[in-house]
Amino acid sequence: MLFNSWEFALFLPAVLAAYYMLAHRAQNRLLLAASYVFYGWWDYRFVTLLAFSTTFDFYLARRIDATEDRRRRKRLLVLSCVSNLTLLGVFKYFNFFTDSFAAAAAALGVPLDMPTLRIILPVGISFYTFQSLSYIVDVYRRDLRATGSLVDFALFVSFFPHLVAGPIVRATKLLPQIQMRRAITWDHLSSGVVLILIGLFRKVAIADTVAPFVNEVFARPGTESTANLVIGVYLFAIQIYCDFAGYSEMARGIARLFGIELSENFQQPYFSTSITEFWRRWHISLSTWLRDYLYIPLGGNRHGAAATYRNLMLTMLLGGLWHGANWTFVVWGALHGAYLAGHKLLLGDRRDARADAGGFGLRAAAGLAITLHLVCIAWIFFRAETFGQAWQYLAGIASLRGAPRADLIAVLAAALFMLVPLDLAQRKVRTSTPVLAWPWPVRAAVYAAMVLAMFALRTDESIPFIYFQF
Amino acid sequence: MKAFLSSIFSSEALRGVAWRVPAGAVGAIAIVGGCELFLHAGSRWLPDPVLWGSNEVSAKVEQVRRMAAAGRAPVDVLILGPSHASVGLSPKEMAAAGPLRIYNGALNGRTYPALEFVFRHVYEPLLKPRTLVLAVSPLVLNAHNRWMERNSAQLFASPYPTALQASGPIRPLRRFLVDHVGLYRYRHRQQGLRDGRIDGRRRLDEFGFVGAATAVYRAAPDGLPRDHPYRQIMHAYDFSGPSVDAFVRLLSWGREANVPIVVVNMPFRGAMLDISATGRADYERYLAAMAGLRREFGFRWLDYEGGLTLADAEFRDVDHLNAAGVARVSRQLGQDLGLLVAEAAR
Repeated sequence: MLFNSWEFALFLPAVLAAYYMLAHRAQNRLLLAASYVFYGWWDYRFVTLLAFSTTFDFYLARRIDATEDRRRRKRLLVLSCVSNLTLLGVFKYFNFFTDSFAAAAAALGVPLDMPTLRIILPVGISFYTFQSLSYIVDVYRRDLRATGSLVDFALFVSFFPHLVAGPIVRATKLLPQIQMRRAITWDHLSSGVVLILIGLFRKVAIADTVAPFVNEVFARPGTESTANLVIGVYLFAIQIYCDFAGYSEMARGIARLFGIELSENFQQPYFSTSITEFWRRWHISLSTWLRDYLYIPLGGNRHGAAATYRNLMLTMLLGGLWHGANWTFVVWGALHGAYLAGHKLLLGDRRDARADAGGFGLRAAAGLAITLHLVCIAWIFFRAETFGQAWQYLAGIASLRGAPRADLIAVLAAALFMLVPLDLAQRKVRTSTPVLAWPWPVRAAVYAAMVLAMFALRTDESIPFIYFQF
Repeated sequence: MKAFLSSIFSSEALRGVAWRVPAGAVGAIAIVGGCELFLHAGSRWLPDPVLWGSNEVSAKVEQVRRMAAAGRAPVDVLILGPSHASVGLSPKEMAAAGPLRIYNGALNGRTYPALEFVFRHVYEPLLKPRTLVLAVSPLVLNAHNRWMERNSAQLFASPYPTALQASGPIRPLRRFLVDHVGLYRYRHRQQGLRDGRIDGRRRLDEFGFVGAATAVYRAAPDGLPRDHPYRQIMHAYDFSGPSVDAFVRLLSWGREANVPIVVVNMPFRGAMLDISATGRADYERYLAAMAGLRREFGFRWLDYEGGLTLADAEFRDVDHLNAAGVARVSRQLGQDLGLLVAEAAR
């Protein structure tokens, strides 16, 4: 069930109506049942996988919490990590690793006939696995007490607004909200609805509008002109941002209607003036997860420059692999690892104080342009289906051939016209819902313009969110 | 009991909410409603939306609706088929041979699954045809016609068919949206559907005929060009696939509904069979398969490829008739249908 589908338009009001009538414990049970229906709508068979993974982690966390024996606690932690990563490995990476191994063996002159699994990737498996893992690690580190309620824990893992594409919410943030009685205020409701509207607008009016043009350009990297290829990657940068940020805003808005606050996932990342800042603003829940559970445990920046660069590279490589079982994602991660290491090498930990304060000078403008284009180069590998296609795309850009297509220029201009004012407004007041502070006639005009744009631009098919595949 | 119920039901979640009038939302609803009213009020002068994926299909559906509303149904004969029928069979010419009410429901570039879909949802309920004419050729009843399948996919993905294909409680909602909500309807705009115009040049006549071309086919010594799309379709003939299945379903429908079906083998030039070395043998297999179906379903077979001797001057291209060919073939079909209807009446 997609947030931008008619099924969900019926599902959400029905769940909300029942939710507002129930007492706290019953609300949690209702949300859990609704979350499993939401997940099962896609493929009911994988509900059992989710339930198994949840129950297993629940009991392991309880045992880790109950024991004081350090070695035993560590063994249980390793067991949890192995079980979670095995599930992820089987469903997401098995074919990737066997194919890569067979290709490497074939290159060495040893042809191997490796087994291939014909399995469907369970939607959201990367998100809920990481969420469960963070809970187990937090309990192991004694940052959190293991919950005694399976319903609460299962709801923490499966809460439907963020189940399939994040944000990856820490147990320390979400579990207390589930355990405590929730009071819903007018601000929750109004800001929730506005967040849903902004998210839908990003997805339906911007991301889905540019998607066919991106598909067209990326399907013909060998014949499109240089200008078209450049515009194509700009459009993809807009598409993936609006698709994912739109989903995250909708998830936060829907959660607010239930009185639950999820973490912010994006803070206008394309206004970043350095690659380090980009990663503080892009997919924040994943980047902070990788920082806290991978980069810092690896040693972070505590063991000298060389170890820091190695840790950055390893973290970003795994971050790339998290996105998908394809070498193109690994290259995307490696590029970002190299960018981050390069930035650290050149500038150390110095930050542009003026840019941080919201000011914008020539240096910040140059930093923004360089960062944006470095990110766009990496997007080519992210979007390409194969390594060869990515190289062909880059070679097409370098060939300096042909002229731009008028329709691509028009789509880019239209997408920027819709996106830039929205992001500028959010950036100026450092909130996702700046529109709520405006006078009501302006609010009315903005809401109406968004609704009209969605009706005018929406396609007939519900285009799935890009991050569903991860 | 009271304690148990209050542990389950409570409205305290919303108890603290200080309700206010959401002025911005009310204003937005007023603006959107105003736009909607404007579209409804101005719909007479505004262009119609392309709800069926192409101007031609949308125009024919609209025309059929108007015919039904004006009491011009049922029709005596409904023609179904792809472009060789939509531009090749003129009901006006056919009616010259006898007083038959004929509608050409053929759809340019569409496969039989798409034709069947439009027939089931529009033509059959609104026109209630007494006789069904199915125009066929080896190009159409062929498993490799990806080119036409792509066009048909465009039809199935368009607003009205997706609304019709929706299931559950969504279906009436989507029907309501496409039928009554202007913002939805006017997303896809085009010029002048109201008068049956398809594009700047072509307009449907009152019988659904798109109009005949005047160009004349000239056979090239090397046959069809190397990049001609028919080469992909005819290179390995296969009498199977979705089009054949849909064709058979239409034959079954005719048998069950007791509606006579006439299958017309549309004429084409020899160059189409010369695409592959086995083209002539493939054509014999196609004729044998049609004979098998004829034995099974008992339809009337009019073979205008083998039965009428047409010249290059009567074709626009390798399988589409021009104005001269349209006049000749349509009159012949009119005469044949007149005889069949008279025979059926006896």
